[in-house]
Amino acid sequence: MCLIQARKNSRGSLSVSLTAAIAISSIRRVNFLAIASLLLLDGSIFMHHKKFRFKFHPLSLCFLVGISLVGCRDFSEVRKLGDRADVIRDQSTRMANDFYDSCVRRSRIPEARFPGIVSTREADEEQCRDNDLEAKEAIIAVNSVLFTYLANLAKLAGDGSSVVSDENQEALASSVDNLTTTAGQAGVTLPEPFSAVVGQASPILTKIFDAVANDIRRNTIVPVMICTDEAIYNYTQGLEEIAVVVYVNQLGGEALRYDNYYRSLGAPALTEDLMPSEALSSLQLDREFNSAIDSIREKRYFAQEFANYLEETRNTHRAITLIFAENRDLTKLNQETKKQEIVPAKREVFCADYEARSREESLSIQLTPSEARRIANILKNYERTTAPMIKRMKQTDFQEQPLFLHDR
Amino acid sequence: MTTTKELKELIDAIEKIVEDCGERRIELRKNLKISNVLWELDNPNDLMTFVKDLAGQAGADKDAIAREVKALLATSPSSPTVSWLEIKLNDYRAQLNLKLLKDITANISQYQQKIDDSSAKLDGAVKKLSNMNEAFGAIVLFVNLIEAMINVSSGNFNTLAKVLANLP
Repeated sequence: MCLIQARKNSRGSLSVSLTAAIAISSIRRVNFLAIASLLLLDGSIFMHHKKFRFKFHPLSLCFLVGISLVGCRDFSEVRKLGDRADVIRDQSTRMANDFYDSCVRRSRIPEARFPGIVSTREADEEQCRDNDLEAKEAIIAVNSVLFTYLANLAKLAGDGSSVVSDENQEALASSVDNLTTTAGQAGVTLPEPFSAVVGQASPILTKIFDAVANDIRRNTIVPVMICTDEAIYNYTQGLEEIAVVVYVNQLGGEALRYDNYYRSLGAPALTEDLMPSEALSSLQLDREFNSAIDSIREKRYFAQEFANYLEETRNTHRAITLIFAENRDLTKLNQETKKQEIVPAKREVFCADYEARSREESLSIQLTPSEARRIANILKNYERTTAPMIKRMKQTDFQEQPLFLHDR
Repeated sequence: MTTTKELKELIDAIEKIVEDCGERRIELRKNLKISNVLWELDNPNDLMTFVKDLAGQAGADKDAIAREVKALLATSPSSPTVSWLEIKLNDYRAQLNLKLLKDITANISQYQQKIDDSSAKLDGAVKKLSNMNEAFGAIVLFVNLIEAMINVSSGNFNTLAKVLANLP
């Protein structure tokens, strides 16, 4: 909210003061320097004219320059961790869909040799609709918890661009131009320092806003990651289990049914001399069986890649959190591993303090350039490691349907 | 009450039993020891003994498996085959797998609230950034207002009218 005060002074001239107080009701944590500068600006601008007087306080410029130098360290690197949240959403959805499809495929494999197909299929498919459809939704839901967290992390971290839209920046530049033109036409002479600042109003204010935005990012991302890391660590392990145990079990059940059916059908080939046409049919059966089993094998690899991806994400989250925790003195050296680790008791106190502050006060977390570089390296490694995993997951064909799904 | 670990072991054991059953069936048929590859058994007790042996080899709880097989046989056609039993055991395994999924989701749900809360905090901060952009827009409006007031002092009300028209 901008507080605008316009009042007539005792001499009848209009003095305008601007308090671009960024103590916006919804923005409770405020960069002190930004506000201090704005308040200085507020008390210092007077227009010199028979009706208006403007006075520019040179100290304001110092503050503004100061602001442009601090608070510039953004969190765009952290975005890389959450940037690929859609991989978790998309691939877990494919997996969940196939979990249900696998049940349907299994139900469509005859229990005995033809014509037994009709008698069991309906009831078995009904079972899938009753049980596995719900399971599919559950798999999507549990994965979406992680997806939402990472996606929000990415959104908040930003991509390094300004919090002020280009449209608003241009609008302010244009408005300021119009103001100086109008002032000139009205015979208002702006003092040199002030006119110089007015000309730079848009970039300066953008810097201030970005400094405040970075404050908000820093004071949210850092404590949130520190206080959520343990939950993320345990939660993703459960998601991994769902992929490499539950989903793979489901595929295993499908494979067992193919095995049961094709073995029974192919049995005559083991005991009898086949006619050429029978041999051809047997060969065809073999191909169908291998195709179905290959498809299942490919999906098992997919499940493993998905679990690997979750593991990398979990470890990367932990590695970045550790840097934040070191910054807040929440770690100690593990004598055995010779690595830093978070002290649970300290973290508990930190998180309780964070919750108690209710996000009203700044935690004054400032990363050093070295810490920022370490985070950048961790995320570069994350990107490099997970790129082939994503590629392989995307290559998995979930559309290919085995023999008994031709009628779907 | 079965733990998640025990449940996983049971699922693996049943998978092994079904696989072994299938292999034994094919082997017997290949050697013409049985007349039909589906392996029809006249005496269900033979089947029970056979399955219990396999359960023992798979390291599973033989009695638990035997109880399940007995229950399955109670719903079986008049002359159950080993092939049929394999399918039913596989279906039973699928049911256990659904239970395993429920157990895992229940287990990780204790962490979900924390992650959801953190997501909400992140989202709240994202909204603040969005509000900042709106606040910047308000400054643009303020500058326009100053210009309008200068114009008003010169008797020109057009700019003020424009600014007022653009007020949210």
